[in-house]
Amino acid sequence: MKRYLFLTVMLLPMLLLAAVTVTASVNKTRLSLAERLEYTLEIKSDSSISVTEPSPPSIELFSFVNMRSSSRSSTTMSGFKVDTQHLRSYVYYYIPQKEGTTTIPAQEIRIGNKVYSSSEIVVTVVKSSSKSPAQSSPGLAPGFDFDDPDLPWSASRIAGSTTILAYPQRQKVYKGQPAVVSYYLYTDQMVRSFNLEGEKDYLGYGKSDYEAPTSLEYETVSHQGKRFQRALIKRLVLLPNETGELQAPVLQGRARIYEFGYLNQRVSSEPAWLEVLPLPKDGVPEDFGGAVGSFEVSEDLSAQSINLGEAITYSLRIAGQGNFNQFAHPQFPESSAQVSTPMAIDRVNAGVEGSRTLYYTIIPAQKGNYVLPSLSFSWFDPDRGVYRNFTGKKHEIQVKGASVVSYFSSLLESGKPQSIRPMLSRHSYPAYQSHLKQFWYWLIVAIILAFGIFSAYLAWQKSRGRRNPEVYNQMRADKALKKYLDEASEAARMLSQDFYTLAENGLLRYLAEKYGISNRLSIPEKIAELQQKQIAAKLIRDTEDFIELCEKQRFSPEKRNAADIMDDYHRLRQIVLAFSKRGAVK
Amino acid sequence: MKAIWTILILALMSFSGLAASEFDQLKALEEQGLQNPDLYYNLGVTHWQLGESGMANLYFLRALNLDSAHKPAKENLNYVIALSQDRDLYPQRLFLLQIFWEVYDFLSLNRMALLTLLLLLITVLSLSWLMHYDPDKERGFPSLIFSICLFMLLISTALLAVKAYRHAHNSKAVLIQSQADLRAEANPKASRVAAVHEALILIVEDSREGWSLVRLPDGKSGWIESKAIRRVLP
Repeated sequence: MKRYLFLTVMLLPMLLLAAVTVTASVNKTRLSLAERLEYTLEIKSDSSISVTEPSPPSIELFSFVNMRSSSRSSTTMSGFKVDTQHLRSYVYYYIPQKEGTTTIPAQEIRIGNKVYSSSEIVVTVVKSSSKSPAQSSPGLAPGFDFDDPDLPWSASRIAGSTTILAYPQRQKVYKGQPAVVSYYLYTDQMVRSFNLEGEKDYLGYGKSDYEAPTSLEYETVSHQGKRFQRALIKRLVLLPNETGELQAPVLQGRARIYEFGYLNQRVSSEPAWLEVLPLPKDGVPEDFGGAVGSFEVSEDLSAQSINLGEAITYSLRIAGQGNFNQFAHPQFPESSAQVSTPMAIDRVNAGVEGSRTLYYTIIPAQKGNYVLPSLSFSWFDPDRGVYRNFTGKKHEIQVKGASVVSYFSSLLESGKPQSIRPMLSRHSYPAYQSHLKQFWYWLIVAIILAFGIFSAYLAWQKSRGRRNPEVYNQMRADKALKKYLDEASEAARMLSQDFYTLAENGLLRYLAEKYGISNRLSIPEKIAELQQKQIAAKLIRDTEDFIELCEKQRFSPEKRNAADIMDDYHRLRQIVLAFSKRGAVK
Repeated sequence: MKAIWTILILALMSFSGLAASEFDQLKALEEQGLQNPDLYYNLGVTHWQLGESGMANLYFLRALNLDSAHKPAKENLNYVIALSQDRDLYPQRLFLLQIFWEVYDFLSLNRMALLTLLLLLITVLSLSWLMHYDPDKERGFPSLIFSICLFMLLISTALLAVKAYRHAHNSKAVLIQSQADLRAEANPKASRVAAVHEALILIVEDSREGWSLVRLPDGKSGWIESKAIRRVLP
């Protein structure tokens, strides 16, 4: 307890002094219309922070294109002092729309209850230094309104021109460096739709679609001293694989133009060129795998301490813009652990912008302290014109011995990432059936409940007998009569002479059932058996007399009258009642 | 260098080709209306291999909806969650709660149904024993046994009812787009509550006109475009 108190006291000043800084920066404060602006917001803190992703700031003269975010944390130890830095960065990409000077406003970031603010940045956009006048970026005509009667496509105009211009994001790129080429439809006619029919390709590049709007979104621009409406048709990403002059693909399609009726006009894009530079031959790192781009690299390890037999996951995140689909993945140097080939998870747009995370599964071979060698990744940074390298830290992993407890500990550590489990080998997939929807399930439930109800009924009968033995015995006698002497009772009610025959048979069957006396014995033998059952002598005598009476009546020519028959029937009931009181003892 | 690139591209193409072929077979079975936890699990793994973590999570959740004790699906779901960008949104459970949920998940709907059936039988037998017990003897022991059985039966029945309801009315969904905005109202111009990323598991609370009101694992609620998510119960 004292130890925790001491630690809390030690850490309290650090918690109170948790510093947060928010900084804003741009890749260039002066750029041409053909270049791209990267606006970066960085939030640094010495403790973990929770912050909502800031919205892209609205910048005059620029249109927002895309964004990416990353987070990183680092810990350094100096003597007994531990410094932890958490960094979150958000990079927003913009394309300049016209020349001029603008101020990027200060951004406000709310962290907890505090609001932090970045500084303002002034950016100047100048005319493109492109050699080809056809590739110069157009500028917006100031004060130009969509409903302006002077619009170039107003109904009063009939004749006009429609063309497609291609604008490479950069005029000079390195081999392997992705180059975005934007194709705009320029028109001073009423082009209602554009149907892209094909792309003519040239040697020296690979390509992929970057953006393809589904409708024509016009903006008014000035081009070669004339007012035009322009709309983005497509953006392509070119990946140059040869050096020298590179011609961008030519787009071909049909524009549907309204001029007092519709007419189709075939349109092709004007040729556009890029200059592809070779990668520098000096200073090429040994582990260079062909990566070209502006990358930020970070690493993460899932655990520092594991049990033998468990796996840990090392992840390397490569984020930014570059030729993601064209570089080899870095490999760990040989070590005593088993290291998998990396599994790559991409969040990449058009194969050139976003992030790639490489996951390596590492299984140490023996217990003790295992040192995971550092992983190195090199790439060529075209913005700086140099090769860069990321070298991860050497991680020391404590590997504990495996035990029964460690086997069960995985139950509680199921959230810990280790590796993806493979597919299950199945020859067939039987349809899933819920037991609750099966007939047999509810049949068993019904049988169990029926058994319970029947058992309860029996218990109720027993308890009733215990509560009032007289009534219970009478009831049992009635039941016995009903079962064994039913026909005799019916004959008695009909005042039939057959009563005696039926009564004798029924009574003997009843006694045989109750006391287990064989039916094959003669009547005297049955009486003798009854005498051995500790039954009252009077009851046996009454029974013997009644049977004798029945025997007589069976063979006697004298008919008994109705009153006698009813008296004999009551005699029979009394005998059965007397036997019933003795219970079902065999 | 070209040779390395060629080998890499060929390896990637062959791998993705294999995955696609397997994927087509599994997808055909699913489209026939077949429901099977292993089928959903394998579809999840295939989606993961194709780099679709959102769809992978969706199928792991579908496998778990049929069989909550499907261990590989649960482990892979946890794995994908741990690698997702929004992993910090998931709350950390207390130790005892973790154990409770492990046991709860182990007892899948069918296992729970069989357990309830067994407990019903034992309860009826113990009740029968109690009812037919000699009234002249002390009834404490059979009463205790019956009480314990009845209590367990009630708990089991309640859990079975909850599981059956959740199985039939699973309101979970998974974000399948790489990124989406959570907004304060069902309107693309409404203020943004949060930015969420692929594979995040959400609870759908309401739907209207192409928008869904969802709750994040950290309890935050907001509207998201319905096309960005896929529900566990199609």
